[in-house]
Amino acid sequence: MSASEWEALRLSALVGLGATVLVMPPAIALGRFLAVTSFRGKAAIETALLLPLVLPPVVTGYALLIFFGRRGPLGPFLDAIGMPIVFTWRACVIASAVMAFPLAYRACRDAFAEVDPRLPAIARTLGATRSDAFFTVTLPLARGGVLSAMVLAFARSVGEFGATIVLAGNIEGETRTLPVAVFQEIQSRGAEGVWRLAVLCTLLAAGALIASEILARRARP
Amino acid sequence: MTSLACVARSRLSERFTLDVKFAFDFAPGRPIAALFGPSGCGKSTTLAMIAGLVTPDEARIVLDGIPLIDTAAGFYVPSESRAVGLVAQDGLLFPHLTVAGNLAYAERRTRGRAHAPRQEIVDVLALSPLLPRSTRTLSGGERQRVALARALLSGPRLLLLDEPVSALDEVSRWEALSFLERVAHRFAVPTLFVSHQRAEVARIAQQTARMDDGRIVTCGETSEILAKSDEPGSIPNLFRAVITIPGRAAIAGGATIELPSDKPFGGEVWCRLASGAIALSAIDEPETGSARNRLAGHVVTLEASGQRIRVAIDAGVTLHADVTRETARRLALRPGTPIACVFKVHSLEVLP
Repeated sequence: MSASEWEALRLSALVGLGATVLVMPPAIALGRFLAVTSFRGKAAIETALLLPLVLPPVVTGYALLIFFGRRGPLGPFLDAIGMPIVFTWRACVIASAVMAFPLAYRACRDAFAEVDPRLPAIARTLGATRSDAFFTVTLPLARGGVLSAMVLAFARSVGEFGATIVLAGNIEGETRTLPVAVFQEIQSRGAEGVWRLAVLCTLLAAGALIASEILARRARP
Repeated sequence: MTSLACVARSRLSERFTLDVKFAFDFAPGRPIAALFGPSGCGKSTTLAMIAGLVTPDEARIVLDGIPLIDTAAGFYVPSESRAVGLVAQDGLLFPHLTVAGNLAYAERRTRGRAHAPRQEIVDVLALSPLLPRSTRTLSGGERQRVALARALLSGPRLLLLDEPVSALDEVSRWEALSFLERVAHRFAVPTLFVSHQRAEVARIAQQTARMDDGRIVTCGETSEILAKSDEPGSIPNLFRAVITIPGRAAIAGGATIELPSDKPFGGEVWCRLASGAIALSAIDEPETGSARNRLAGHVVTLEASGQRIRVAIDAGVTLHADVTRETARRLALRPGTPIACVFKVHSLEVLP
């Protein structure tokens, strides 16, 4: 493998990790909240949360570009604190996180819906505060689904292309992740490099799916 | 002496409003009170309100003079600070922890409250061999004992038992009840016991509030409340007996009865006898028929129940008998009338 291919692999792994870290707290919080509550307008909120799953990724990428761009609502502030997003590695992380969020959220929500709500309630009668009961009863009981959500989020982030190419571009060593590198190879050199990278992508994705399935299965009583 | 006063009103659905008002004083030696009523009458919701797991629309619940919730004053103690333990029908043990882990969970969260020594609780509930086990491998009765121990280790000022034995089979149920009773007396924990089973209430509660359709119908001494029932049909009498020789046992007051089995089990047993299985006869009437058990006593109360009259008799133990109006007239039954309760040996059920 060439140095640039190694670089793409390293960048993809880092982006995957970063996006997973970014995505899991809101996925867990919203998954838990929407698993146990019902209110008017809940269906609309769920639809909005799952939207990136069905929108063309380039559309999501374009929306992010408008939002984080120089003339967007956040652009001037990000420039002022010296942390521009667009066409930097941060853009890869954000684009991947946004695309991975619906998957992670849905897996978390399903995992929390499986937890008997009377168990954290009993914990409270034993003296546990609301957050104590969440971290010592609810989360451990949902751990299989939550870990599986993490793996899915990582796999989805590593494979992210459409939103990334719009928000982050294709800058070697900065934003050229594995899928972007595959795209680059297809356009420039041809079959050999594409095959190597494609196999690499497939191995990463398959490994993640298997891990996700094992974790989810282990969580079942 | 612990006291519990509960006034609560909550609209739970379009057609069901819970509206309860009751008070219990848990005097020494009388630690168990019951909420008794048919399934779906609001007993469990009432417990959840006391435990702080459900917030009622309007309520004032006071434990030992200190409010747990007073909606009028905008006062609310969160569940974790109430020191009100709850044991549910299926135990609700934490499945990701072992038995010992479940106990430790409660013990680490007592918030400085005193509780009975762990070893003593473990011994009384016979939990030592279960400690390392996964909660998934426990039987129903074992789960309830662990749940009870866990609640006790949290240092409760009040213990709520929500149909704690109704998921168990007949044998385990009476065994579990005797554990509950032993625990409440031994550790002097005021206990509010919820059940729709008359026999369970009769067996362990000293005071009872009867609920129906979201309301408290009556509240008072268990024997009176159960006797006042307007439900048709027989009710079980429950009393303790100490086996003296195989096949015979002494009951409170000194009388002896014949037991249906002459198995040489010793010690104390519980006997169950349906109110419909007791015949009354004048105290000086000679023994006739095949009924071999005869207990002398006097009438305490008479209560019309449909076509029959339910008679409470003090015969050392309190027994309820159902007789026809004709019999009541014939025997000139009045409170204080001396009377004999006659029943067949095989009407008597001996519980393990």
